[in-house]
Amino acid sequence: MVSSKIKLLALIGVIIIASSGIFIGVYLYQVFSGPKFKLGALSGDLHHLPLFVALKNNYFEEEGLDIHRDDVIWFPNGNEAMVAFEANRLDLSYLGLAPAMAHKLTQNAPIKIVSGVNINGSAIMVRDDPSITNLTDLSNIAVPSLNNMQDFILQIALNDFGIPIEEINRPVLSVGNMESELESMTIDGFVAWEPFNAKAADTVAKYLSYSSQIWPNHPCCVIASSLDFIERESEIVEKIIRIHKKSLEWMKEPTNFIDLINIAKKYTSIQKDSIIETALDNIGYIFNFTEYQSEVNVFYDRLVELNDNINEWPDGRSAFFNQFFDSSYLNA
Amino acid sequence: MSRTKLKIEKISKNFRVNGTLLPVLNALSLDVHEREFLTIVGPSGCGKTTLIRIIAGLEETSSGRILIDDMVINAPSKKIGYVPQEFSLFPWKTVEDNIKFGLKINSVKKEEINEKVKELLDLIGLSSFKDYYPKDISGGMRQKVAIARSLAINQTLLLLDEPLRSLDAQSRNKLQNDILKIWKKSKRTIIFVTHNIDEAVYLSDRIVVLSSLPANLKKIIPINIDRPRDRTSSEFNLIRKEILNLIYYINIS
Amino acid sequence: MKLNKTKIFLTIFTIFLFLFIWYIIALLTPSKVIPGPIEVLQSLIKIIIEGDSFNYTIFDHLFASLWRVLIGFYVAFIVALPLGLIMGLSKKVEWMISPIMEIFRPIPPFAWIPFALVFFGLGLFSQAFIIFIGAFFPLLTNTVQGVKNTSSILVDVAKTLGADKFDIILHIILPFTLPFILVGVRVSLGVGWMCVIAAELVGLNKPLGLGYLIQYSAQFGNFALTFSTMLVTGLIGYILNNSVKLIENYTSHWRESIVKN
Repeated sequence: MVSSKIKLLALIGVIIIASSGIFIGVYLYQVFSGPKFKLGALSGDLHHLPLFVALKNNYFEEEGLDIHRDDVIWFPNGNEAMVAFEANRLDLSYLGLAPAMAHKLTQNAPIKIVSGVNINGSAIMVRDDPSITNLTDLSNIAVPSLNNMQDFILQIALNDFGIPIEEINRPVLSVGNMESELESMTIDGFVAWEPFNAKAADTVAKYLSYSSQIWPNHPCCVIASSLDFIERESEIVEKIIRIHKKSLEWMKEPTNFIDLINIAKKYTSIQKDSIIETALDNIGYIFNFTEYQSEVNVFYDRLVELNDNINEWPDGRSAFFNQFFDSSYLNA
Repeated sequence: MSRTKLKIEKISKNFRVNGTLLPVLNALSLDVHEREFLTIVGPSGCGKTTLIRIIAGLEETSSGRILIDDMVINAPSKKIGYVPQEFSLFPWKTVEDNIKFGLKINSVKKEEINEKVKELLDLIGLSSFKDYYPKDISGGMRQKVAIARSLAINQTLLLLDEPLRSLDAQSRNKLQNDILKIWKKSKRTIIFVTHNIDEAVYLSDRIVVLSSLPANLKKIIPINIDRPRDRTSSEFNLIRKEILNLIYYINIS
Repeated sequence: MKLNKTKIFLTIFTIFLFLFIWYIIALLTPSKVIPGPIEVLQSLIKIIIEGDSFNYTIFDHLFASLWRVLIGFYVAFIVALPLGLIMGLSKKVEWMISPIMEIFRPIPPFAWIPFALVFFGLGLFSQAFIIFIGAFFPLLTNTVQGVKNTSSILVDVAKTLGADKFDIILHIILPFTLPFILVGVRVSLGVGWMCVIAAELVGLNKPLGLGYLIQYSAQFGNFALTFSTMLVTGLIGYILNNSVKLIENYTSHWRESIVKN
C-alpha cells in the first residue's frame, strides 16, 4: 500500500501536469489560430461600412492577410478601443477621431492616424411631432458621451442658435437606448451616428438637422495604428489602407448598391432596406484626411477649448498634427 | 501474577484557564495489569477524560510519565486504542471500511485485511451490517464497530470513555455483555470509564475511584465475583454501596 | 420531495400568472423596451434555429461563454484548494495571508478589467481572469472553513490508529471538507457565471458569448433578443447550480450523523 504522502504528492503532480498541458494547449491555440495582428472596429457602426465590405468581398485574403469577420475585435465604442491601444493590445482600429485625438492629447496615446474613414453621418433627432421645429423647443438632448464628435456637433448647433450650452441638459446615453428614451419622452432629442438616426426615423423620430448641415464635411471616423505596429509591420498598414480604398471604389459603383445594402443590413442587424438607404445618404466615405485639414484644425481648437482636462499640445497645434497624423500611407 | 501493562507514575496535569492554573490531575499513580478489565469512576468533571486522553497520547502531562509495556508514552501509540464518548466513526465510510481503516494505513496486505475484517465482524456480530453507514446503525452498534476498529490493528490496550452513556437501559445491558464477550475472546486489557456504578461493578476486575478536582486516587476496589455477575446478589450490592458512599463523601467534602 | 398534484398545479399556475402579468405590462408600456412573452419566445426560437445575422446560434454563444467560465473556474479551483488547505491547517499561514485576502475580496471582478487587459490582452485569458477573481474567494473561504471545522475527535482517533500527518490530510480532512468544498464550488460557479457577462466586455476577440449577445442586441434595440438571452443565461445558471447540488447530495449523505451527535 502506497503511503498517503506519496498519494498526495502524486495528486499534486497530476494536477500540475494536467493544468500546464491545458494551458499550454489553449495558449498555443490562441496564438496560432488568431490573426497575426489585431484589428478593431465598432460593432454595428455604419461609419465603418468599408471594413464590412472588405470582409465580405475577401479583400483581406487578396492582400494575403488572414482576417475574417471573427478576427476583428468589435468594441462597443471608441473609448474602449483607445483603452486597448494604451494597453498595447491593439494594432489597428477603425474608430472616431474624437476619442483618438482626446486620448492623444491627454495621455499621449501611442497611435497615429493613417487614414480617414468618413465625414458627416450624424444628426440631431427629435420626436416626429410637427410642433417641434428647432433647437429652442428642446431642453433634454442625449449624447453618446461628453465632448465626442456628436456632442461637439450639438454644441456648434446650439452656438449657432445662440442658446447657451448650460441651458440644455445633455444626458449621456448609449446609442442603442436613445430611440426608446425619445419615445417615452424622457429626452426631447438626441445626437447619434448612423444607422441609429435612420432607425429612429423609421419609428418615432425625425431628423432635425443633419451634421453635414451644422458643420459641413466634419471629420468623423478614421483608421488609427499603434506606433509600434507602424514600425514593425509597415507593409500591413499599407495593405489595410489599400483594402480600405478598394472598398471605397467598390461602394461607389451603382451596380453594387443592392449588395452594399445587404452587407449593411447584415452587420447592423437592421432588416429594412429603407433605413439603410437613409443612413447611407447621410454618410460620406473618404480616405484622404488631408483634404479636410481645416475642419480637423477647428476640431482640435474646440476640443482644447471646451474641455478642462484637455490641454494644448506642448509644442502647439502644427507639431501635434505632425506627430498625430501620418499621411504617408495615403498613396498606398 | 500478570505483568503490568500500563504504569502510571505520579502524573499531574494542569490546564491554563483565563490566565490561572487549574490543576486537574494530582500526582496520580496506578498500575494496570495485563488483560484486566479496569474501570475508573469518580465525580463528574474530575478529570477522567483528561486521564484517558493522556494515556491515549493526545495530551501531555505536566509532570510524571506513563509507560506502556515499559515504554514511555509521549504520542499516540499503535498499541493503545481509543474509543471516545462522542461519535467517532468515520461517517463517510461504511462499517467495513471503518474497521479496515487502521489496517490500510498501516500497509497491511489486501488478503490479510479481508480476513481480519471478516473475523472481527463475526466477533462483534455485525457481519450483515458491513455495508451500512454509521448514521444508519444504532448507538450500541457504532461503539462495537469503534472497538473492532482498534482490535483490527491489534491494539492491546483499549480505552473506552463512557461508551454506553447515550444508550437506554436495555441496550446498555446487552452491550455490557457484548463488551465482556469481546474482551474475553480478544484477550485485551481494557480501561473503562463510566458514571454508572452498577455498570462498573458488573464489568470490572478492579474499580479505581478518583476524588474530585484535582483528581487523585481515592481507592482501588478489587471485585472477585465470578462472571456472569448477578446484579441483585448481596456481594454485588455491598460493593456498590461501598463505592456510592465513597463518592458521596467525596461529593460533600 | 413529495410531488403531489397540488404542488405541481400551484407551480404551473404561478408560472402562467407571471407570464400573464408580463404580457399585460408589455402591452401597456408604449416602447419596445419591454417585449412581451410571445415576442421573446419568437426571438428565442429564432436564435436557436437560425442564429444571429452571422448564423451563430444561441448554442455557439452559450458554449463560448461556458468555456470561459470553466477555464476561469478551473484555475480558481486548483489555486484555492491547496491554498485553503494550507491556510486551514496552519494558523501561521492563515494569519499571514488572510489580511491580503480580506482586502482583495470586496473588490468586484469587474474592476479588474483594465488590469486583465494589460496583462493578458484581449481574448480568452483576460476573460477567464475576471471569472477567476470571482470564483476564487468563495472556494478559498469554504475550503478553509471545512478544514478548520474538521472534527478533532476524528483526527484524534485517526492518530491513535497510526495515521501520520499525510494520512490525516488524505483520509480525514479531505473527505470531511468535501461537502464544504462542494458548497464553495456551487457558489463559485454561480458567481463566475454572473461575471461572464462583465468579462465579455473586456473586448472579445471573437464576437461570441451570451454577454456579447446581450450587449449587442441591446445596442441595436433588439430587446426581445436581449430578454431571451437573459433567460437562457438564467437557465444555464440554474442548471449549473443544481448539478453541483446533486453531487453534493450524493456525496454528503453522511453529514447528518455529525450534526445529530
